[in-house]
Amino acid sequence: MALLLEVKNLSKAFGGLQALRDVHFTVSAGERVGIIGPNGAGKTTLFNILSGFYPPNSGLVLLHGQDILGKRPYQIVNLGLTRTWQLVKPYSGMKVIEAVSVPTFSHRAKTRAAANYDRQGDIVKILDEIGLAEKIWEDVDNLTHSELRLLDISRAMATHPAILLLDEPFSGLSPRETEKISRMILDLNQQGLTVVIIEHRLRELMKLVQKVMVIYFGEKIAEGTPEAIIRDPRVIQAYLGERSPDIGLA
Amino acid sequence: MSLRKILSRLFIYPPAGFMILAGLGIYPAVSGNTLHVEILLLAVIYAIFAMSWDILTGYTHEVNFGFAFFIGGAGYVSGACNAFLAFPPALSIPLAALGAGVAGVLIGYLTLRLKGPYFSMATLAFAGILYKLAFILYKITGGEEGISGLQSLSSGPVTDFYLTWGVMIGIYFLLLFYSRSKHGTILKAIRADEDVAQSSGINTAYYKVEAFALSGLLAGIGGGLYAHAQMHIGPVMLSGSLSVLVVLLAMIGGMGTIVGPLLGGILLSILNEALRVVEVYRIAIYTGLLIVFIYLAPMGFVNLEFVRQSPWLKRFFLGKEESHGPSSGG
Repeated sequence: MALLLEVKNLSKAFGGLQALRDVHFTVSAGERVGIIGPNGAGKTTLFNILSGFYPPNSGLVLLHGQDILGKRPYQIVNLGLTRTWQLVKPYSGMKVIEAVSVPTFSHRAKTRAAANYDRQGDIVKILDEIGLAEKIWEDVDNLTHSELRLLDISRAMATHPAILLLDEPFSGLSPRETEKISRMILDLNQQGLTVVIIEHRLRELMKLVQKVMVIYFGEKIAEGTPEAIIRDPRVIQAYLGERSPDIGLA
Repeated sequence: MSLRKILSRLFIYPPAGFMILAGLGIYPAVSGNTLHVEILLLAVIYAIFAMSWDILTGYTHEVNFGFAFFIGGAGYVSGACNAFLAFPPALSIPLAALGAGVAGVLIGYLTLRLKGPYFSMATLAFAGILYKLAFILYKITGGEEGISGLQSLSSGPVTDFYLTWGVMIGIYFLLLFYSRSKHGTILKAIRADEDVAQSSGINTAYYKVEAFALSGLLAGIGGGLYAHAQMHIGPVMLSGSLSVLVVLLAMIGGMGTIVGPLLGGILLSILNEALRVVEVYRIAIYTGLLIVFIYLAPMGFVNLEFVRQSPWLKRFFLGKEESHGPSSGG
């Protein structure tokens, strides 16, 4: 499979805090990759750098072999990399159809469209795939938390991305809603979308992805299939800490 | 765009707007009262100010507290072109408006990263600088006196009025069309969350500067019209009190609707003049009423909840929502 995203020696410090240290990984076209790590490990920082919101201190990020560091967030979206947000940031004050129409005005959506681009048709198709079609005329402010997450994913999909970064898509959702979003992610992946997912809910994530990368205090400590990762002693140590010596309490 | 398409677009715009435009158009023709025509002329110019303020602040919610910068700045440029270079209003007003538009690009670019009170203070500062300059450069600006004896717009108050009225109608429909096109939608997206708008692939900086430039350009047209209609431009048109008045007119009418600032600008200006029967207390009563209005309708009268909830009132004051989502034109 062709390499879609290459990250080499990526480092980022906020003052004295080293948020990322020499992180490197690759994502192939069509892959489903998970990124896990304890709170504060640097996962969201990684997304913020990949999507152009933070500049890194050093390193290289290649999308389709093209260097995207230093590009503005909207330029990166137009090159095919789109993200969603850990804390949903809805377009409040708009209707669902309007909110999803915003990305259809992006350069990428326009140039990828046929000569007679059917904007509304595109929006309806995306909302239909994601399962929000009946909410198309609803005010964004009236949507539930899980619908807002679906809307955020719809917004990202309307830019016609090659690779989608999902930042904790399951947080705050019930098992049923999690199941629904998982299925939707698999569907989109089957249609050719590459996905990278940050998630804390390991049980759900492990079922969804083919490859997992573990970040701990800004460093990548392991990478492999979900089966290998959950047995990796370094990962267990990062999540649960070392077994403490028995001091005879209790 | 075919005539049929234009007519079907007009149909979706708010009837309240058409009624006030028509009312303004009929009154001077049937009434011979020159004073009333002069009052309506000023009301029309204030409505231009309020609407051009609304396209930036009503849609992005970044409050421009220095709008006099564009109004007075263009007024002075237009006045100076006429007084010293003998340019006719037909040339001096477009020149001044163009200057205000370019200033809009510059200030828009400089304030791109500012939000909330910081943005407002920056706009306030730019207007403050221009206000001081009007006194420092007294050889050109006439200092406290301003520039007098400018050429009038046309031969008489009634033709002055109809010229201004025509310009206002043009600006009103331009802004309605712009705000309902992709440009308005993107500005609303930036208002909700600029980061998310960027991760929708939108060059948010471009659209913010564009709105700033449009807002400045149209205010510049209004400022130029004012200078020539009054045949005078003075530092009052650069003052903070004018900036605040424009904010109030647009806010009380209803921000982010274009038609609200139109109604607010016209009706409140007429109210202000009507209060001249109690001239001694006029300012006190007028500002008191504005405070009461803000208290009753903080988001403006056309944005009141009962207007938005009632299908008839909503259709009347806000127009019809487009069935096909925002168009890509504009």
